[in-house]
Amino acid sequence: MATKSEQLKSVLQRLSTVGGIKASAVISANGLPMVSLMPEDVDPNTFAAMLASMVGSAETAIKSLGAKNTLERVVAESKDIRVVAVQAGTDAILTIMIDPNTNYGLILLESSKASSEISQIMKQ
Amino acid sequence: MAEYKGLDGVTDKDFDPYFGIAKLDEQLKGIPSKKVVLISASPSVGNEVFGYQIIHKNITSGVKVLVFLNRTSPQSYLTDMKEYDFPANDNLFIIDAYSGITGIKSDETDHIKVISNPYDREEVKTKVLKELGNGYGLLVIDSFSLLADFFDFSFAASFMNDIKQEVVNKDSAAVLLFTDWGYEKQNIDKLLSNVNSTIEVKGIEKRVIFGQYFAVLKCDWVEEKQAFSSVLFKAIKPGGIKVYFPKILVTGPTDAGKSSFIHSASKNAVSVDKLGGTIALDHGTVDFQGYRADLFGTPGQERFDPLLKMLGGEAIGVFLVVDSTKPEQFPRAVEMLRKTETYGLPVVVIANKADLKGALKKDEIREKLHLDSAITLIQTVAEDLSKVDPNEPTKLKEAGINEALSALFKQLT
Repeated sequence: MATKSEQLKSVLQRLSTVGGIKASAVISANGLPMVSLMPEDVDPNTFAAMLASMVGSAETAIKSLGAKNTLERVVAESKDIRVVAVQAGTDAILTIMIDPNTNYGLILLESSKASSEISQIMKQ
Repeated sequence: MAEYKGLDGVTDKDFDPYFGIAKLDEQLKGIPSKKVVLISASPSVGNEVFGYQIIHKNITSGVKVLVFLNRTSPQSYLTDMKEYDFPANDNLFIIDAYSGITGIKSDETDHIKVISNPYDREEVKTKVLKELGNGYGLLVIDSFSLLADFFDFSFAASFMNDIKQEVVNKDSAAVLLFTDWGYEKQNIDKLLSNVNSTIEVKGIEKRVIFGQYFAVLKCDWVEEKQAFSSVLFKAIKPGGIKVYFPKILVTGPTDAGKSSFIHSASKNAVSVDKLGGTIALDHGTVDFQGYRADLFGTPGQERFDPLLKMLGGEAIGVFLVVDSTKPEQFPRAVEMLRKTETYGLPVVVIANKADLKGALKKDEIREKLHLDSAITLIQTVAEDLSKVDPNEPTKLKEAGINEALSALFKQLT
């Protein structure tokens, strides 16, 4: 059977065929990179640490405002890059980097599908 | 590349040849002559970088090295080595048993000997054993499993016997790179029983740690067996094999010097800070004596406490940074260990600002922090007090930083 990292990688590879997704990674909720499909000049360790802290901070912020459900995703935007971090179970976070001028709805749909697959793989 | 000395500052003089790989050299004290080491890897991980690094370490410390090559051509082998920052030199000699397979004509040079017919087991055997008589300190075979594939396990076993004999006669040593493609267990066991040391290289997937590790399965020249634990590593281009710690936490009260420590210890530190204080985290990668570690620094102010648990998760060791002049913050320091849920992990206490007026002495800090005598406490100071800017991480003196890294890394492996 394929190892966990191979399975996670294949989820990312499928995601990368969706138009507009430039890079993606699965990181742990506490900031360690697990698998990534990223440009070579990006340091996955720093990226994972920063994204996990964004998600952690957002979770705390949203809870303090009285949110009853768990955090679903965090989005950070600049004019040329949009980063989306989607919770994938309790241990993992799916992060994708997309071009902001693309079909965002489709990407959100695909990424939430992918995140539930990731959460299944992590449970194995 | 900086000279590798190991955490204890072991130099090359003690033994020849050396692995040039952190932890292996510290545990096994190099490869004594007359010994044969087998490095067995699973196919998904690969062990060629171990070969490159061992070769490079030895040719640069004046050991004549012979490489038997049947995995790839000498040219692409040397190119690949160079990508890891391991350039060849005059001490490197190659027996090319690859070009003959592909039909590419290869010319003998002083440094490249050619096996004209790699399908001829006698020629392979004779040429290697004969060449070994020319004063080599180390023989590396890349790859030994390909020899077993090419011929059979009984040839591999008898060839290994011959090599063993020859390294004993000639005061040499040998490293055999072996990839385990799922061979029959009895064949593997027979090979393993005949070598002096076996090092296993494998992938690991434990919770959220996805990586690669090596472990010494066997070594007949080291007495204490208890210390052979497995260690995570990364093969880095350039740089080669580094023992790897995915997460080390740096925590402590406000303004103690956590960010300064991370920025001084690592080359590529990034901080999320506003107005001089860390608000989310600091992150930096440390390369030190063949070890690599990712440092995660926490904010110190209490209002960020909800983040501490996330930052501490999966950490395997802690640097607790305190300000030597502020004993009133010490209870907070201990509280942070609890809040990051890292209490009980290996910890090194860094007493920063040790040269400032009013700084407590080591003993006083120990007493006030209720430190167990087994816990290491290291003092650090700013490199230049006149350059301390409250809005920027301060550069700390290297001696203290290195002492702290060395103390924690030793506990972690």
